[in-house]
Amino acid sequence: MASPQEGTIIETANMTSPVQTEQPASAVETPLLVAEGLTKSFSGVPALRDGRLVLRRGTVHALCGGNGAGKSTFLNILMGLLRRDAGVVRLETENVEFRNPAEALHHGIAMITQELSPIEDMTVAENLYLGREPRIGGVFVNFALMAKNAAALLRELGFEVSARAKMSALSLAQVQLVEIAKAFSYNAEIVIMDEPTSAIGEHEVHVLFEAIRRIKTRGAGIIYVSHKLTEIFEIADEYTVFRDGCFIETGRIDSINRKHLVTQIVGHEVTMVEKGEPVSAASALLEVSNLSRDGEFKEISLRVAAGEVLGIYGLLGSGRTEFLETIYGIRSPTNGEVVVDGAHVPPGNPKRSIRLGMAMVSEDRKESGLVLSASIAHNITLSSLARRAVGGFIDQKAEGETVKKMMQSQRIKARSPRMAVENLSGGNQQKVVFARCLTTNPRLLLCDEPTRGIDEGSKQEIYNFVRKFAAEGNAVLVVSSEAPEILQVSDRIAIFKKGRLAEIVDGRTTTQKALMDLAS
Amino acid sequence: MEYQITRDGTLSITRTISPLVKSFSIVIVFLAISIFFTFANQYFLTWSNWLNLLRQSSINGILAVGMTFVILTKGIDLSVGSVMSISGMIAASLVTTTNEHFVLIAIVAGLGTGAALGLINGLIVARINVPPFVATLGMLSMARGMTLIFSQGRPTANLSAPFRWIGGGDILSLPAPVVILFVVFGLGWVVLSYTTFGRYIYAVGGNEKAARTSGVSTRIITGSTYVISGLLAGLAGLVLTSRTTAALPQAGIGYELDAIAAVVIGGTSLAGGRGSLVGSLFGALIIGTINNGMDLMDVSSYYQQLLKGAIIVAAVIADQLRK
Amino acid sequence: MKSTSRTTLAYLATLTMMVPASASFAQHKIRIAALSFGESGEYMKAWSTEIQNHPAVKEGTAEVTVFDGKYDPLVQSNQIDTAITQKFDAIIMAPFDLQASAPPIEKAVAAKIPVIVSALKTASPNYTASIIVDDKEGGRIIAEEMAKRLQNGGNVVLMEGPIGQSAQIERRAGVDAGLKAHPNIKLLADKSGNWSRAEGQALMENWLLAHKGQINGVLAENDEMALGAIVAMKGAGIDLKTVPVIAIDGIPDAKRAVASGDMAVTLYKYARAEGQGAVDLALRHVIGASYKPTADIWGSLMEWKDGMAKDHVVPWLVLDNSNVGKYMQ
Repeated sequence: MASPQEGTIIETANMTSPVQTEQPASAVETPLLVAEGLTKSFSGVPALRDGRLVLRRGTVHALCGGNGAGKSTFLNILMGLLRRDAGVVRLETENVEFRNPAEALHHGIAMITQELSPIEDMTVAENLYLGREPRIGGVFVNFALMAKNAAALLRELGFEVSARAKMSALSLAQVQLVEIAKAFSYNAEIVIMDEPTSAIGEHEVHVLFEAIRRIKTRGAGIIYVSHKLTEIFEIADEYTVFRDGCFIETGRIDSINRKHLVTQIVGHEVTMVEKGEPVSAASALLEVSNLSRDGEFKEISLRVAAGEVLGIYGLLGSGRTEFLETIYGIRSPTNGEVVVDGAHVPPGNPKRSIRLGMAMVSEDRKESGLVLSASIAHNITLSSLARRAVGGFIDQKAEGETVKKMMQSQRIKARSPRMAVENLSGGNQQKVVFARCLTTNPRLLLCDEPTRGIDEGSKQEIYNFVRKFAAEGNAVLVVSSEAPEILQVSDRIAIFKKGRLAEIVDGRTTTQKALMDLAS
Repeated sequence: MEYQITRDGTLSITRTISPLVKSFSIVIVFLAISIFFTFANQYFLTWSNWLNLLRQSSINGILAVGMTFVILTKGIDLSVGSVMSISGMIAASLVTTTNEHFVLIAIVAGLGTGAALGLINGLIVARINVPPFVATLGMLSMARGMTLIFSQGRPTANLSAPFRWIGGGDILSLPAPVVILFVVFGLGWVVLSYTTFGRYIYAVGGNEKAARTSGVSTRIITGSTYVISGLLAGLAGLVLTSRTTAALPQAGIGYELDAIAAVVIGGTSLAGGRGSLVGSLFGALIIGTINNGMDLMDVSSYYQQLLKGAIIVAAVIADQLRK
Repeated sequence: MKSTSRTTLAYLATLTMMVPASASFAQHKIRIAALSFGESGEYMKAWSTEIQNHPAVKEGTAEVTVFDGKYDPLVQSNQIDTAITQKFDAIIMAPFDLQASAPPIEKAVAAKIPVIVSALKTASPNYTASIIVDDKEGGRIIAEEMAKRLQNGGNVVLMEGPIGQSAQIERRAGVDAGLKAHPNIKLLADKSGNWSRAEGQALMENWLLAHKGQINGVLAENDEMALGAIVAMKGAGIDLKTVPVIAIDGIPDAKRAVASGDMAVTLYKYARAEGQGAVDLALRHVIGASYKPTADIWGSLMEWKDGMAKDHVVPWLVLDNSNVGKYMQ
């Protein structure tokens, strides 16, 4: 972890008055982009009150903020997806107002969006050059040239994705890489990246950062939005914080530390999670023996004690998610055994796994964690419905009480439990998933990337919860690709490498660098 | 309705899930159509016409209840027309004057045939993972073939009086088919709204993977909906055969389309996970009203087809806009 | 003054009262429901058109509403329910199914609405009157016509209507009776083509393969199926002058086929007789003995007598290439 640095630090007299740092020395030339006083309201409700940002040439500028901070509104205005109510956007010396993304692109602004929406049935090359395919005689698409260009681009960026592959065959991470490649292919002067690494692994992040540094030297400016503070501290030069739709603070990254940034984002001091001592007499709650699944992972054996949090760390493709899903029963193993609390777990049967005390928070909550069309209440009770039913009929009162208790204890922020889950923020949605898992009173919790796409405040709440849960005598298995996160939360860390368990290290003494070295 | 700023900075009007609110719009459509016909024809609002209307909608209504279960799980059942036919045929063969058994046996045989064929559909869809459209399309042909083979292409007539009562008799001055429809609707509604089974159906249709992760036996749930649809198709077949007082080998052709139309018009989404039986019931009533009303107004049946199709398209568009 | 205004008021009042009174003297239109068994077929469409062209309808004495039975006995049953509720004065019905039509007809008759059965028969004995061709006689005639053309005997195939429909049952019985009198003609195959041209064509194609070179004549219970058979035979290169095709209905396409020599004989069914004749019968039963029929079929084609006979039989007209020219309209 970076050590705190003194220096030109900000004065934050109170939370609502925005303050600026002194100008960095390199600001003699005109900045690439200046946004001032941007405001936007929807039906009278303000989403952005004072959006400001100064992007200088050859810098990576991190835009930080929690849920509802106004970052996305701000970026959408820059990109031409929204019209601003007031304020000024200046590209070097020219005042601009974009009416659509095409105009923004024309002026040299490209954006990598958070929501990945690939055209499944088309190839990578076709998706990359959608709308600007090279043509023969202006009419026919030159597929060969397109594939060649795509392959060259991907090679140059160092992304391991085949230009001819269909998008539907790619993993989530690879889809994100294609999205990134697409933005780079525009050779824009300003690149806006909104959560570009939410799905990709450490190696690809490294490759991406190399590419970012390269275009920096060409004089491009990058606005980088991410909840992963580690990355921000690694790649960004400057930062701006938004909160509640307002500009809060801006400055150089090397003049602040992580704690400060978190405080600015959340608005108050946040207690970081400390690791407790696991319950001794540590009986093994989970025992996995020689678990294998052809083509995904092989001969994995480990034990997790009651009271322990075991982290699983590894690069993309190391088999972590597959391993977790196999223990739980979403996938079936080709070999091996899983024992929970002394009982043998029949493979491939999530219903039985739940009955035996397991619960799983899957990697993609929208895909396999939540029934988006249903309400909060219905999602929370889905796993445990049979327990709150008599002769097949749901005990409405008991259900209501369970839901109320869960919403309180998990701090799910919503007006009513009858609200549709699809309208919640990412953090709240994840809490609903946790709530659902907890209603079955599990003893072993399996979490796959539990804080993906979640704001800082909620993240800490989840870490706190995981530690508390374990401290009560239960066990947790956490898969994460963020080294600091896994170090913060785990007692021990299992390193996965190409489908095999390489090593198990102590969570308290290992360093981030050691972790990454062991995993590659 | 509440306003909320969501993650991507846009404003969203959150919806609280209330099935009654959603079905409300279909009731309004039904009332509007009824009011229109009331002005267009003097006999529309009479008690005897309303009994006609309900009776004429009852077979489609029964099918629509079963179809709702299936469509909620993101499936579809194209075989109900043919299943109706074979079930009615088998039941009829047990109550002809030359081969008369207890009506109850015929009823059980008819319902059993429907349920059995539904079970086959369910197994093919849930265990072998054949897309429902294909699986039930196959059953549509198979069941029709079974009907023709069983009947040798000939109608079965001269059915016993107790059997004929199912379609032609009255219970408390309401036609028997109407009472049967309401009982079926009532049971279905209770199951979908108040039982775990019903809740699981919505979950499986909304997101099968999430339901499975949450421990729901998704295959059993999905398969069961086809059994229900088949069973109700069998029941509808009994009512049809009894009403026409003869089991005809070409009975029920095309009935699946009206059932699907009723469900879609009623607001149940073909994408699964959303919808209610109240909507399907009113959808069936709307179709029945249009048939009845337009006949009264002497509108050519060619235009009736056009209008029915237009309403279905409008209903699907409305569903899309709601998303 | 006061008395004048009171008188004026009195005059006005009487005038306004006369309006509804005179309205009640106005003609009460007789409403007839015509239940066609399926409007997508040529014969039924001709039938319902004839009904709507009946002189009484054209001059406004009667008002006809055509209901399309969509080839579904349940739909026809529903339509009778509707007609009863709508208080129609009379019902004319072409019943799709012999058996299934019985209960609805009984219901209508019980509701004191006269039911005139036309074009096809019903199993109910309680209908008011019927005006139908004699299908059995029709079957016999086409068998006879075939025998005339196969003096030395031969093999014939028979295409039937939907099994169980009265026309199919009776025409089949007629064909069987007719063929019985000519033992040198053998019935090689028979199957239902469900009145459909497409099915008739498919059926013929299969028979041409299964009984290669053995078929000497084709009998069909209706023209549509026969026309389909003709297409199949032409496709197989068969000379239609050597293999006679004989059918029933006399629809325009069949008449053209007879004129061109593709079809040997078609039995013309008077849609006007079955249609307009039924209207007259309906009006007779509604209005009473004072009613005089206005369709032109009476007298020339059929006898009215007093219009109270239960069954009126519509005669057939044999059309072959010697007389078809006269009836090409």
